[in-house]
Amino acid sequence: MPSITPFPVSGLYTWQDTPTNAQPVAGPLLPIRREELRLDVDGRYPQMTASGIATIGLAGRVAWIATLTPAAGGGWSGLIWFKDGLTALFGYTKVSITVQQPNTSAAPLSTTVTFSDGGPEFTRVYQYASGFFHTMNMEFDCATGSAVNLDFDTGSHPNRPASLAKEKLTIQEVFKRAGFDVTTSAGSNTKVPIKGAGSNAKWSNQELHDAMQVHWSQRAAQAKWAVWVFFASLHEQGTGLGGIMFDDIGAQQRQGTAIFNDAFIKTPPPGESPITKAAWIDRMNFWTACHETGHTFNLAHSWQKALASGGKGPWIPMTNLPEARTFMNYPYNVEGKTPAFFKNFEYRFIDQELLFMRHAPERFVEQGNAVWFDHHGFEQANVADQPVFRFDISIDKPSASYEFLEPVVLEMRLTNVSDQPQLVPENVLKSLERVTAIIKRDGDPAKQYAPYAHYCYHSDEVSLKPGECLSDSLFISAGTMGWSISEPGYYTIQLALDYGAEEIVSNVMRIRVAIPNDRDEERIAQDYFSDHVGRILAFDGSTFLTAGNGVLQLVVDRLPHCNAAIHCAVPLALTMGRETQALSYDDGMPMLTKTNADVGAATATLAPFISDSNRTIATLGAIDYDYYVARLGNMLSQAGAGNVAERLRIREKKSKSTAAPAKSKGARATK
Amino acid sequence: MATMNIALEEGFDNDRVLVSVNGKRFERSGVTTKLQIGLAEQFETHVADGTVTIDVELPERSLNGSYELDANDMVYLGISVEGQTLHFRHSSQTFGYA
Repeated sequence: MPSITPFPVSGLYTWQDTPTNAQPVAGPLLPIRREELRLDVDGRYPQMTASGIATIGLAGRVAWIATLTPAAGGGWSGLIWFKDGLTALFGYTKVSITVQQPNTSAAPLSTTVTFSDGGPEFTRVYQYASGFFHTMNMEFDCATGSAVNLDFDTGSHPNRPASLAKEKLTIQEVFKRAGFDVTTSAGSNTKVPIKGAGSNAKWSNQELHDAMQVHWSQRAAQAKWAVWVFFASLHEQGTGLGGIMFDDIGAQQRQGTAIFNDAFIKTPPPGESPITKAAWIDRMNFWTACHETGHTFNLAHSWQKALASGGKGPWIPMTNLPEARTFMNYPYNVEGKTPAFFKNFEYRFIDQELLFMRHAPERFVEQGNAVWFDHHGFEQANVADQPVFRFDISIDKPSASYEFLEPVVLEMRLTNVSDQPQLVPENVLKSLERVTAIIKRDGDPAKQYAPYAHYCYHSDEVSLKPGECLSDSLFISAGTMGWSISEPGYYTIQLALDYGAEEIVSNVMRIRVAIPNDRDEERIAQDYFSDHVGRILAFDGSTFLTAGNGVLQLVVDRLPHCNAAIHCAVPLALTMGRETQALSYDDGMPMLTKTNADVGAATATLAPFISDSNRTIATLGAIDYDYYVARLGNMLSQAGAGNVAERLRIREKKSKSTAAPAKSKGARATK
Repeated sequence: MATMNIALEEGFDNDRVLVSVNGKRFERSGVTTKLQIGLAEQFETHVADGTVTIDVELPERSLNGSYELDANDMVYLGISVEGQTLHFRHSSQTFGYA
């Protein structure tokens, strides 16, 4: 009677918001919309692991990994030992998993996962999607005069493990066994002209990168499970370099790798038998190709597993494995050198590498995944059928055109569009905790705005009657990720508010940033688009960031006609116009040095702010304008400059007839 | 006369490296290991056949070490930093990086 081969249950399972035949038994704590589960318990090199990715709200993702053991009564259970993302919102520490399968020789239908410990137990049913954990594409090209080498006959060299299957193993098959559904690009086998390597016909990293840009048919300015494998003669470094993952520049990295057929990997040691020399070369070439491709998955060398360098390190604590038999080790550096390595090398990645490739958060592994959320935007956001709120972003400018250097300040408005009063946290907009902002300059990857600070407020709730709104401002040009809006061009901005079960997505705003007016603006820009200046503008001043204050003063003095000068004037005046105390040392003794308010300087600095209130309101927005008028007015009055304060208020009164309704800076209900 | 290829390999991170080969001094700054190949940079010098003394110093890290080898025709020297120690290796054949 023929034996029946069990159908592996390992692979990818998915859950969608409205699956046809799978509903949660009990609701989750969070509005999880899309989930993936990777079950890894059988098939090739099982890691006895399950991992999952959940999208929480709009911007939140949690990746989790659990080690599994067979459970009494079937299935598996285990502890979650790794979480990444919004971990505070995902408290579970245990999973129990069962697979639904018509019979053991048939493909599974679904898997049921029960999460427990750390929150109310809930169960989720995921549908079977694939026997692989990820899909990916490989393209193999070569330089003119060189050949693509995709395979190796594992039985061709006598130095091999006795148990090793004799087969024609391909690069694609190596990565299939690692868990990837590999497709080969139709653009493969392109002959890249050797002139791309310059007059010396040897490739530099830059030339390789250029060749990839031109000849890789799958190239895209985004992260992608895809890799370009390029075969050439030699790197400019000479025969000592057998291959290199050269793609370590730019926003998308780890997408390209090169193998140098005429490097040391073509030179068998003197003692190698003439009969096996060809197999030796073929083997080293194959090892190099798989090794370099492994680097594109962010795999380090075996002896570097624990290494942290330049602020980068392993994803979990690891130990160096200089003797490991893996594609990621150098055969010639192990004890006993190359013969010892291949004597028990099984042409595979070791378990800790497979765990990483299959189960680590995708952004760690996926080729080119440098900028999170790129090309996702809010296209997949789940918006309620009958929304309770509307989320608007707007500006107070007559057109959405910004001068070069001019910061962008948005007004956010959350409006109750239902026919019932709604309770909302008073500071739901002000804290920014629930607000996600995406900024995309045309031609560049999208970026998520990360504010310099999240504010923690006491969460009093206010009642919004139908039609009422909360509003607040958002300085969006700069944050902890740098200046998101700086270069001239067109930008798309969209915000979303994660509000319980509802994701409230704003309108899309398009703005244009103009080119510099003159060389002066270009020169100042080099210092202006800095972290210090961004922080001073965001926090309305600093007594500590003196270099940044100098740049702001330069803008006020040299570019008083520019809107940026209005923005710069405010933090400078707020800093100059008040008394400060700074800690200093006199012969090692700490002392507080008092700095008197310089009302004259503050007033002079405010000239751009005062000169044209309509322009000031347009660039600051009405919310911030009113806030600053009140704050500056109080400061000046207390400093004895009531006349100047009165001038601010006069302007305020004048402006009200032409501007939006007065609003305080901060959440406030308005009709 | 032998040719010596000196490779600064693992463990360098924007370092200033002083290498002395039989008293002939070389200085490299900003030396950083390219992790995907385990190599920062290489350079060559010529030495008289016979015993060669190589002294290496990373002054900003207060690291130094010394190594002796017999040079003959072509010799490859690899220098790595591991923790607070300098490691040396040499070979008559090129080191392979990948």
